[in-house]
Amino acid sequence: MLTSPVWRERNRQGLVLALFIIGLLSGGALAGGVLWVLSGLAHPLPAATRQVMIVAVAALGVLREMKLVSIPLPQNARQVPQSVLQRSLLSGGLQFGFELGTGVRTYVSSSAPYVVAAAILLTVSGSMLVPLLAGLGFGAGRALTSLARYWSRGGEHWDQQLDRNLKFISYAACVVILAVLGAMALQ
Amino acid sequence: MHIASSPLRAAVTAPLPPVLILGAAAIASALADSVAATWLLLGALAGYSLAGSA
Repeated sequence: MLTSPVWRERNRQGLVLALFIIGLLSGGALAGGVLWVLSGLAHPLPAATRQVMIVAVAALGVLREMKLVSIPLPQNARQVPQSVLQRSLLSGGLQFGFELGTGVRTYVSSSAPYVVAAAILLTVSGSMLVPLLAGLGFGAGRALTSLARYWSRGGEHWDQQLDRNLKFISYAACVVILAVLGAMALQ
Repeated sequence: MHIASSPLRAAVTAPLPPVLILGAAAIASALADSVAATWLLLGALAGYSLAGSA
């Protein structure tokens, strides 16, 4: 809806999109902060144990994307209601983005966010920088979808391309995350 | 009927390139031992993997 092809006021559409992205980044930062607070619970575990757990969870994520294991993961199985945008496009776009940016408000169709969240929880650090950056990155990653669609001016064609590539996108993200977390564990 | 505003725009803004670029960048930053960039990119990959949901 935010990039509906029936819109003709591209400036207003751009402003709504900008607020949506600010919301995404804010929500992501908040989620990162919460994960940082919760990561203290993993502090008693030895570092080596936590590293093994991180890689194991990442591997499970890949297997889940390949449909080799079936692991139901918690998610808020509903979409952000349309009323959020109908009340006010500007504030609604900001709120919509914030709720999506937290990652806990709607469907989570990929294992990747859970893997990264688990990695943050198990990477016990006194500094909030890593969780904050990961959270901001999450918001930015979600924003990329809307930005790419907006800039493409392709609308339905872009949606069709996304449908064709969605499984690969999710799978590739999990594989790369596993590779990177594995490399970090070996360092 | 879809008419691309330009082939270059269509190629650059297609759904697939971002995950490839983010993935390559994440691997490169991990190899370069850049902790901050790596986690930022891991988060971005996780966020982009949800491209189909809202």
